[in-house]
Parts: sequence; structure tokens; C-alpha cells
Amino acid sequence: MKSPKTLKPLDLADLRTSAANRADAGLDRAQATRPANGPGIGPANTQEIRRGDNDGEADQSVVRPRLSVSAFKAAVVKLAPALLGSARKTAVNVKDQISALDLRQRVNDLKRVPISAAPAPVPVPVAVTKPIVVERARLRDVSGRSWSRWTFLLGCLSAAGVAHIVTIFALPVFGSTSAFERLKPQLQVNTMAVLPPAAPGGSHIPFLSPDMRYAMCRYDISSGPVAVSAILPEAGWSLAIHAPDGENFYLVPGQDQRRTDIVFTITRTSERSLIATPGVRRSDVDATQVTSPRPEGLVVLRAPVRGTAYRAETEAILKAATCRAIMR
Amino acid sequence: MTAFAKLLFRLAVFAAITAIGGVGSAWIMAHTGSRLTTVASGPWTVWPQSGRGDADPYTRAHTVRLGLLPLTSGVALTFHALTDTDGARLQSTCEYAIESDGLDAAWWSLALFDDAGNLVRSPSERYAFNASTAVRESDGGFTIALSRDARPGNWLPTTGAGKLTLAWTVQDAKWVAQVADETARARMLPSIRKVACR
Repeated sequence: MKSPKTLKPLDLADLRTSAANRADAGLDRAQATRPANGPGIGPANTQEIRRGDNDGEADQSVVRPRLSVSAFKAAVVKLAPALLGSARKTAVNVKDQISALDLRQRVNDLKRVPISAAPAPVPVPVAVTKPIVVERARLRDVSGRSWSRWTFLLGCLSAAGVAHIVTIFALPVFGSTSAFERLKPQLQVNTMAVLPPAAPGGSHIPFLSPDMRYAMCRYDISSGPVAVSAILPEAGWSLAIHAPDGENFYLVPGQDQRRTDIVFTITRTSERSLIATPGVRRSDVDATQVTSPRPEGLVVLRAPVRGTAYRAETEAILKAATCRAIMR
Repeated sequence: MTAFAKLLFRLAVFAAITAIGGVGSAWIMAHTGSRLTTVASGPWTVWPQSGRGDADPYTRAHTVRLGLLPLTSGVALTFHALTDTDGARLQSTCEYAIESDGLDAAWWSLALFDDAGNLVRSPSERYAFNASTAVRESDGGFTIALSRDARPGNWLPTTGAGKLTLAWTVQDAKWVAQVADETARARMLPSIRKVACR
């Protein structure tokens, strides 16, 4: 391994003499190019340094020359141990000495150069583009937030729309407030029942007309068809079949001054025309069979209230209506 | 605000908008209706597709929500009035006169309910008038009085205090077909005139 180069101890007197000679030469060149009034920026190979004068005199400008490469290297060899501040470091690598000196000199230069005289910082490309990047990022952020809010509101409105549609379509299917569900506990299956006259608090169905008397049958054709018979003595009477959701899919209104006898069978689609309604000719089977869209429903016979004098007659006609399952 | 708090806040807003905007609007549309599903003429409002098999979803939801058993609208129609002809809410503390110039229908009925669709208590047990029970004038027209105190002629007592609802039902296919015309509808439906209020 090669041993490091050994250097002589530092001779500060020689260094100061050499530096003063070079400073004089540089000062001459600087004065030759400096303006008459006040300090100025010197030539490229000089730096002007302003120092405060303790005697009250005007500031004096001193031009410190830059070292040439050869003088710099010579000074490095001599100055390195002293500048490094360690007497024990008598043997150092030349390259390390140069680096250390260069660093120390740069530090000293920065300390002595006033801010006003310091050269303007060269715009760094990064420094120029950084605000643009930041601005773009900010704009993107604002735009992104805006889009996020609109997207969130759009999502909320879409969900509300879906909830609206689902609620509307689910009500007839799953709604437990339908008239069928309200009347279910009161009515026996496949049996016609005459409801009492309307009275406050006595009706389970809102807005049920009080000037009507009702006979109702809750039919269930899941185990077989159901036969229905009724009489409609005049106009105002009606016999209707309602699905559980209230749909009136079959209606026979009474005729003015003409009695209408109704006999029909409620069947499922698959059983249509296969079962003969009791008391009805075979050729009239199709006309007297009613296909129910659901296995359950309500048969409602409505009779108008015409006054106390007609009450008994009306009730008798209502009680004469029948609703019964057909045994197969 | 932390990210978790923001997430919770957004979920709360999402749930509120979905519940109020979605379910709430569905409830209003099913309960009260809108111009899309109802037809209004003066104080009277009707669901023209009520009871029909091809009814729109809102009419079906309305029928189930209120628990109605409507006859198909091709034969019978039921109009409801919550206000008088001037637009003021019907109140049991006021006296009204329901007037019609004459009605050429097989059967009609005018019934009085409270705001929830229940019958209004009456000492005389009179809750409605129809084509058979109403006293008509010589020209076929009739007037029905709504008041707390007894009135001559057709009188429907309004006891208690609260909002009232009138239901006007006509069961006549010919009349139903005629009332579909907008200009004829105003003439065919009775007017509700406020007489006085206490």
C-alpha cells in the first residue's frame, strides 16, 4: 500500500507574502475597470468585498484575487494542516487537502460577501416549474373535489330514485295495509258474510262508502274453484272481484229496473273450461268462469242504502248471496 | 375532520337523501298523488286509473297504501275534496253548501269523512246522501248542507273539530265517460261553497 505524501509544516509568513503579492496585482486590474463613483462589480476574475471602517472613514473596497491553479495547489500543500486545525494531521492525502481547502475557502467567501453584492441567484429550472406544478395540482384538486361532490350528489339522487321506484313497486306486493289484509281476520275462507252497517270506528277500510251495505267473501282457489251466486235487483248494486292489491278485475253492475242473477265460478287459469258451474249449461261455462290472477281475493257485493224502509229487503238479498268451494 | 368522520358524515347524508328523497317522495306520490296520476277539477281530485288492471304503479300503491276497494274506473269514479271551491281546507267548524245543478247518473253518493277516512260521528247516524236519499229540487238539482246545527233539507252534521274530506262517488258508465272531458267535468261536479265559519 502506498504511503501518503508527507508535507512540511505550515509557513504562514510565506503564505501571507504570496497572497499579498497576488492581491496587489489583482487590485490594479480591479481599479482599472471600476467606476469612479462607488463600488462596482469587478472583472470576472475578481470579487469585491466591502468592509466596515472602525475609524469612521468611508467603506473601503478590497479586491481579493482568485488563486490560479498552480498557486492554489501550492497553497493547498502548505495551508492544509493549519486550515484543518490539527497538528497531528501532518500526513494527509493531497486530494483530501484540496477538497478541504476548497470547502473552507468557499465558506469564508460566503461569509465575507455581503448579501447586496452577492450575485443574483440563477433561476433553477425546478424553481421555475415548481409553482406551475403546484398550481396545476391545486387546480386538479379543486376540480377533483368539485367532481367528487357532484358525483356524490348524483349517487345520492340515483339511490333516492331507486328507493322511490322500489318502494312504489313493493307496496302492492308487500304492503300490509291493503283492504284484503285488513279484512282477512274478519272473513272466513270461501264464505259470504254480510258486514254490519257503517258506523264511526266500525270500518277497517278508510273511505268505505257509508251508504252502501256490503257482503264479502274471501275466496281461496288454491285447493279448488269457488262458486259464487248473487242477485243484483237494480242500478246501484254491483258484484265485484278484487285481487289482494285492490285491483277490480271483474265487475257486474246492476241494471236499472232489471234484476240480474249472477252465477259464476272463480278458477285458476289452468282449470278454465274444465269445471262446470252448478246450475249452468255446459255451453255457458266459459261465460260463467272467472279466472283469478291470484289464488286469493275478495268477492264484494255492494247494495245501496235507500232508506230505512228498504233495509230488510236489502239485507235479505245480501244474505242470499253465496260463496263456496266446489268439491272435486 | 378525520377521514372516518367524513365517511360517517357522507353516509348520513346519503341515507338521509335516500330515505327522505326516495321513500318520502314515494309516500307522497302514493298518498296524495300528483298531476301524473290524478285529475283535479276545482276542489275535486280523482285517480282515473283506480281499480283497473292496467293501472300505473302509483295508483296501485295508492290503493294498497290506503286500503281501498275501488270499483274499476270504467264504471265508477270516486272524487275526493279536501277544500272548498275557493281552496280553503274543509273544517268541521265551518258551514258549507254542496250544490249541483242536476245529475243524470244511475247512482251517486256524497259521503263525509274526517281527514283519515273515518266517518264523522253523528247523533242522527247520517253520514252520506245518495241518489235515493237526497231531496232534489224541481229541476233535478240538489243542495246538501254541512254544518254542526240542523238545517232544512239535506243536512250532514259535522260534529267535533277537525279537517273534513268529502267523497263523491258516481256509478254510471255513461257519466264516467262524459266526465273525462275537462270542460264538462267542472259542470258535472258539485260546487262546495263556504257559508260561514265559527
